[in-house]
Amino acid sequence: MAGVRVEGLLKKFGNVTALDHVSLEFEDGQLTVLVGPSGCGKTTLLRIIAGLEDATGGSVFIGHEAVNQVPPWERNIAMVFQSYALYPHMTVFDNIAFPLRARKISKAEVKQRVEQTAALLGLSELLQRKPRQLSGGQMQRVALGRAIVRKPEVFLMDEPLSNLDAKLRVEMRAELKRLQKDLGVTTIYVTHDQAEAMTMADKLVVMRGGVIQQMGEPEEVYSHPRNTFVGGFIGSPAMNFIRCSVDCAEAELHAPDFQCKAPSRFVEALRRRGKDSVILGVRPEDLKVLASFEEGAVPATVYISEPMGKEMLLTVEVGGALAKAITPTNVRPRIGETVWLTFDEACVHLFDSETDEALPTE
Amino acid sequence: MSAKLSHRYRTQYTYLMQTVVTILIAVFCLTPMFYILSTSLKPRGAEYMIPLELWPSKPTLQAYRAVLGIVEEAELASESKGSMVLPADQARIVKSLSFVTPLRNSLIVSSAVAAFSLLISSLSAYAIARLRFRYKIQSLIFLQLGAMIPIAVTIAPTFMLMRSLGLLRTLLAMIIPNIFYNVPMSTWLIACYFAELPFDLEDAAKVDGYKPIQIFWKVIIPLAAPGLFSAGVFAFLGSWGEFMLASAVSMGIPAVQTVPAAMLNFSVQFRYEWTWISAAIILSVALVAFMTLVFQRWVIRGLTAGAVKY
Amino acid sequence: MKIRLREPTIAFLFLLPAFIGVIVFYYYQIVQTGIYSLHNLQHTADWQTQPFVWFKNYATVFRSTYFWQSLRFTVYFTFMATVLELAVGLGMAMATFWVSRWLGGILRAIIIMPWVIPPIINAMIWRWLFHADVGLFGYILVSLGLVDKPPLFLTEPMLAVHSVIFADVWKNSSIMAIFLLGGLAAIPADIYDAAKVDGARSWFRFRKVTLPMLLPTILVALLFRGIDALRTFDLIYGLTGGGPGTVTETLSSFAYKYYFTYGKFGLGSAYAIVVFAIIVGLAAVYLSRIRRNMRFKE
Ligand SMILES: Nc1ncnc2c1ncn2[C@@H]1O[C@H](COP(=O)(O)OP(=O)(O)OP(=O)(O)O)[C@@H](O)[C@H]1O
Ligand SMILES: [Mg+2]
Repeated sequence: MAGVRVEGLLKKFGNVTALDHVSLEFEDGQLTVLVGPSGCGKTTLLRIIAGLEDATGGSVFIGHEAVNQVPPWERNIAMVFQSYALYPHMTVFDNIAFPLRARKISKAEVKQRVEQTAALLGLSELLQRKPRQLSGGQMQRVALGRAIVRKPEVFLMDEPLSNLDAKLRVEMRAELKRLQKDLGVTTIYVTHDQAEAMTMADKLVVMRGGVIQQMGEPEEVYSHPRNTFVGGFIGSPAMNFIRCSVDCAEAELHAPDFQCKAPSRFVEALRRRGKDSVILGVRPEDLKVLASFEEGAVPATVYISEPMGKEMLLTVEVGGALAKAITPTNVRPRIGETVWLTFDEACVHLFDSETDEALPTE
Repeated sequence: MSAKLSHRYRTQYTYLMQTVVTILIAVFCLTPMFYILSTSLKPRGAEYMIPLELWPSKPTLQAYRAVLGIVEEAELASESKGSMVLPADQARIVKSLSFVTPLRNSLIVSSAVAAFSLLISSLSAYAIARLRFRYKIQSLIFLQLGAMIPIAVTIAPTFMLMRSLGLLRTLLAMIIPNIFYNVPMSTWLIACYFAELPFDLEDAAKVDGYKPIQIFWKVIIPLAAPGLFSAGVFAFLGSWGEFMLASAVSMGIPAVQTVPAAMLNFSVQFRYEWTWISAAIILSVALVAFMTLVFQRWVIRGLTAGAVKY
Repeated sequence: MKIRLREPTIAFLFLLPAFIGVIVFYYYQIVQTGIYSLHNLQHTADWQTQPFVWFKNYATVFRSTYFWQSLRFTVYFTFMATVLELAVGLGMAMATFWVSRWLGGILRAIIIMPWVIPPIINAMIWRWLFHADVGLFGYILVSLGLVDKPPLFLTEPMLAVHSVIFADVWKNSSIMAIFLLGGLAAIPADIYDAAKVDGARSWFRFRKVTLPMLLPTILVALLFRGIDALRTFDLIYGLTGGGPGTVTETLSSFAYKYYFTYGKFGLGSAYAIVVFAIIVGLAAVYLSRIRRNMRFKE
C-alpha cells in the first residue's frame, strides 16, 4: 500500500496546456476524488500517474519512489476506464485473470483468486460469457474485478460510473465506496458528477483548466469554497451569485433591488479591502421563501417552479437576475407571484468581485 | 381485408423478384466455371461435338487422370489414331507436364508468401495505425505508391537480381518478391482493422502489466483476426495467380513452375485438348475457391473494413 | 540500465522490414528500369557493358505507331472495364443488400467466386468460351438465331477488343461489388429509416441518400480498379496474346514482349517507364483520396 504524490506536473499537447504545475498528495488508503468540468485535465492527470502518458515536466511518486521512468506495466497500479476496456475476445474469467497471468501466478491460484473476486462482485454466474453478452452494469463490475483481483498499490478510476443509468449509478457508488473501504487501497477517482464527488470522497480535489482550485474534505469544500468556481461547481443546484455594492460605513450590501446587512464576520475584511463591490453567494438550500413580508426579506417574482417530490425547486427573479431556491412543497407559489426571500447570514459567502476569491473571515 | 391481401401479394411478389435477381447474378457469375467443369468431365474429343452438351451425357474423370499424369499408353493409343506423336512419347510428355508438381509448388509459394507478408505487414500496420511518430502519412503513401508500380516495370531488374543471387529456377525467386508485392495492400487492410480497436484496450493491458510486444500478440492480433485473415487470403490468392514473375524466373522448368506458369505451358503443349485444359483449370481453382468459400464471411468483413475506410 | 524504446523508435523498427522490401522490390527496380531504358540493352547482359544511348529508346517508342495504338487500347480498355465493373458491381452489391438475409448470404458467396480465379486462368476460361467453332457463347447466339454462324470473338479486331473487356468485367466486378457492399453496410440504417419516414420512395432514396453517401467508396474503388486495369497483362497474354495483330496489346504486355520475346530490355524498359508515369498520375489522385479519409492516430 502506498500514497501517491505529484509535484509540479506540467502537461502540454501542442499549445494546449492540459495540466499546469499540479502538485497534489493522495494519502495512503484514502479515496480522493478529482472533480471538474469536461476538459479540465482529470483524465490526463490519471494517465500520467498510470504512466500511459509522459509528463512535459514535474514528477510522480508512488510510495517514496519516483516513477517517471517506470513504464506502466511495472507500476503496481490498476485502472478502471470509462469505456471499461474489456477485452472483447476473452471471457469474463479471462478478462479478470488477465493481469494475474502477466505476473506468473500459478494456475490454481489464478482460478482461486478470480473466483473469489467474482463472488465478491456477484459475477460468479457470468464467468464464461463474453463482454458483449453483458449489460452495462455487469461490464462495469468486470472492469472493477480486473482491477481489484491483483491487489494493486493504487486504484485509478476514470469516470467508471458515467455509462450507467442514474439509478444504477447511485447504487454502484455506494458499493464502490464500501469496496474501497474494505480493501483499503489508495484510490484516485475521477468524475465530473459533483454528487458522486461529494458522496464518495475522503478528499475532494476540484480542478479547472489544468489548475487545482481547492483540495479538502468534502464538507469543507462545500461550506468554505475558496472561489466562485468551486462555490458554483460543488453543490446542486448551483450557488446563486449576486453582485452587490458595498457601503462600508453602514456595513451594508446593496443590490439593485434590495439591501442587507453585511455578515459581521466579513465586516473587517470588507473594510480593510476598501473596494466598493463584492459578489454575494447563497446556496439555494439556504434561501428561505416566505409568502409574505418579514423584516429584512427581499422581494422576488416567481419565474418557474419544479416539484421534485419531497421538495420544490423554485426559480425566482430577483434584482434582474434569476436565482434558485429549495423550498418545502407546502409553499406553492404560482408563476408571476411575488414571494419574499430571506437567508441566514451565517450561510452567506462573499467573494472578491475581481479575483473571484473568497473573502477572509475573522 | 383487401389491404391485407394486397400486402401479402406484394411480399410474395418481392420474394419472387428477389429470387429471380439472385438467379440472374448466379448465372452471370457461375456459368463460365460451370461450363469449364462440364468440359472437364467430357471424354477426350467430345468437347468439339456439335450440338454442345451443357452437361456431359457420360461424365468421366479421364481428363483429370491425364492432367495428374496417371495415364496409360494404351489409353492414349486407343484414342489418338492418326496422331503424329507416338503414344509412348505422348504419355511421357503428359507425365512430365503432370499438374501435381505445380499444385505442390503453388501451395508452398502461396503459403510462404501469405505467412511472411502477414508477419511483416502486421508489424508495419501496427506502427501506422497505433503508434505515434512523425511522417506517418508519408510512410503510408511510400508503401502504397510502391504497390501501384506494375510488375511489368520491375520484372526485368527483378529477374536480373534473382539471377545474380543465383535464385533463378527456384521457388525462392517467386516467394521473396511476392511477399513484398503483397505487403502494401496487406498493411492497408490490417491497419484499417487495427485503427478500429479502442486505444483504451491497449492502455488497460499496459496497466495490467503487459509489455507492448505482449500486448501486440495477446490483445491486438486476436482482435484483428478478420483483417489479418482477409489480408492473408489476399496474399495467398495474389501469389497463387501471379504469372509474370513466375513464368520469367521458372524459365520453363516444370519442376519449379507454379500453377499459372504450368497452366500456360500446358495449354500451349496441348492446345487442342480442352478437356485436359479444363480439368487443369478446375484443379487450379478448386483449392482457392474452397478456401475462400469456407472463410468467406471473414474475408468479406476484413475487405470491407478496409474499403469503408477509404 | 534498462533501455526503454520510445514510440517513434518502435514504429521505425516495425516499419523497417516492409520498407526494406518495398525499396528493394519496387523503388530500386524502378531506378534500374530507368537506367536500362537509357541503354541499348540486349537480352540479359549487364547494362554496364552496353552502349548508353540517352533517350533513343524513348524516341523509338514515341515514334512507333504500335506504341500509340497500344496506349489508345490501354486507355480504352481501362475506361470501359472500370465503368462497366462499377455498374455491374453496384448492381450486384445493391441486389445483395436488398434481397432477404439468407439469399444475401448465398449471393455473397457467389459474387466472391470470380474474384478467386487467377487472371491467367480467367484468360484460359474465356479462350474456351469464346472459341471460334465450339465456344459456348457463339453457340448460344447461334441457337437463339441471333447470328448465322458463331462470331469470331477473338480474331475479329473490334470483337476481340470487347471480348477482352468482357472477360475483365466478368472477373473484376466481383471485387468492385465487395468494396461497394462495404460502403453500403457503413451507411447507418437510421438514415434509410429517416428517409422512409420522410416519404422518399426507393428510387429517390437511392439517388438522394444511398448514392451520395456511397460516393467516396465509389471513387476510391474506381481508382483502385483503374490503376489495376492500366497494368493489365496476364489476361491479354493468355487470351489473345495481343492479337489479332497488335490490336489488344497493352503497354504492359508490349513491355513483356520486348523483354522476353525480342530480348530488347532497353526498349521494353522504356515502355515500362511510360506505364509507370501514367500510373503515378492516377495514384496521386488515389492517395490524396485515401489521405483525406484517414482516421489513423496521428
Ligand atoms: N491526446 C491528446 N492530444 C491533444 N490534446 C489532448 C489529448 N488528450 C487530452 N487533450 C486535451 O487536454 C485537455 C484535458 O483533457 P482531459 O482528457 O484530461 O480532460 P478531462 O478532464 O478528462 O475531461 P472529461 O471530463 O471530458 O473526460 C483537453 O483540453 C483536451 O482537449
Ligand atoms: Mg476524461
